[in-house]
Amino acid sequence: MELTKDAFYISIEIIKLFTIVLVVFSFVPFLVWLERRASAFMQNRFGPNRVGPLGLVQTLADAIKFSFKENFVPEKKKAFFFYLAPILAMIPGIVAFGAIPFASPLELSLWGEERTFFMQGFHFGAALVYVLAISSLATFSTLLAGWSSRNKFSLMGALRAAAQMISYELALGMALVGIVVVYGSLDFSEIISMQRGPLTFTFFSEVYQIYFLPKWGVFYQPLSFLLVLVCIFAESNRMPFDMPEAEAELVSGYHTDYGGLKMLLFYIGEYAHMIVGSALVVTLYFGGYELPYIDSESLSKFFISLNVSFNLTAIFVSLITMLVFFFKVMFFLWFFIWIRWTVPRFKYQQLMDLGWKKILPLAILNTLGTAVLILAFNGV
Amino acid sequence: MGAIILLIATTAFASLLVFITSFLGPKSKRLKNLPYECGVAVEESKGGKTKISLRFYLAALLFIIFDVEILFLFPWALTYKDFVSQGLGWFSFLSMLIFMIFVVLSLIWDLKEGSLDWN
Repeated sequence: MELTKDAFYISIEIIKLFTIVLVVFSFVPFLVWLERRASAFMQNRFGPNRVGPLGLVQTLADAIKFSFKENFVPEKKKAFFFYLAPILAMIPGIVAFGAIPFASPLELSLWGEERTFFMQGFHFGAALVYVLAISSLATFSTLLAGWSSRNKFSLMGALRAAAQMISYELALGMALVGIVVVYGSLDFSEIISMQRGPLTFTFFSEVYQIYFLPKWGVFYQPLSFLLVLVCIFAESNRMPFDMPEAEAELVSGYHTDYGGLKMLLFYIGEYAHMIVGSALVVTLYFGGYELPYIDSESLSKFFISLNVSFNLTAIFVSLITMLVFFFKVMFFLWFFIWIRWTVPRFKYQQLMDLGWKKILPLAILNTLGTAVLILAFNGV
Repeated sequence: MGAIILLIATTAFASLLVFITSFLGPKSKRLKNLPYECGVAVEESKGGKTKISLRFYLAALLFIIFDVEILFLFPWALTYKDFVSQGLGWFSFLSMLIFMIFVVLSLIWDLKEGSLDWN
């Protein structure tokens, strides 16, 4: 009996992890479709509309076509790295997403005992630092791709991309210090549970509440939110900052020599990076999986008052919070796409100036300002 | 542990895709496999003397310095509220301020010295 229980719990954990991989992989075609469709409507075109309803299956058809593409085989001594780069491009997005909770923890009573399932790949304390560390690994795949393609355009694209990513990672880290000061925690579940209820400020040990606003991180750290949003755009090499792929100057940047499924892997990596960035912003600044006014505890009380059984209540609440998280993340993914087709590209030196001379000093000021405010008013 | 399983699953799936594409697609001729732009590899063009701006190297060096400084700020940020609630806020704030002054000074020095100018 004990053995079957353990086997059940372990297999649940493993199934969860594989589901995360599959969900991210299969969510990307939908995002690509959304992006192509949206860009078409913004430019008064039709976009993909032939394959399947509304062209939804177009990206799958593309993927099948990609797998039959002629394969570029580089020189032997760099071939290993050439094949390694697209695989490495996949890793940061998906492995970082494992630490982000996408629904409220599921508390089930099984075999007469209560058991909590965390709705995230794995649960541990220093999750914020972990996500930062893992997502910065994307630089390696970019550099490897550019270097092993052996042509000038790829190499320059890769160098640009690497310099841009590390510059903005600094600004991102500095901007996140402010929000860590406010929460005093790096654990996502804790951070989300602190964002329940109405907006609360403490001035000189007296508590003021604003009832019509939720207690979200944006209201405590608006500047930090803006800086983090800009940095995530730059980190995932998206449009106003997609210097590495500037096709007018660099052919196609670091994936000039890549084709077929290998290029698709770079795309999935980029979109996975976007998903992780959006999920991070939602978790830190917009209350994560919690609904604005009704938190998960009052939801489960509501279900129990309807005489729904304990296990079913937990499942319903988890499903609802998962939907909430999905819609919040979708909003930011849509924001990424929206910006891409609205804003023109910067020049490279403007991009680096923005990172080092504007965002980094502003983030330092934000950290100092937060510290001073907390000290002066004795609490946020 | 979970991270390792995710890593293995992702790597396996991505390697499968890379393997499939080299297996299904038609084989290309030798000349097609030369690097882009007339088959001149970057280490062969101009006799191996392709010049790349030193700025990228400087940016990487500065990144390491500042990133370590930010890493030191995270433990401070985690404990700051506890210090404030125990009435030791000034102590924590001043020690961070001294550290921060050095960060800002080095940033100002880099700006003055021009290693952050990309023109």
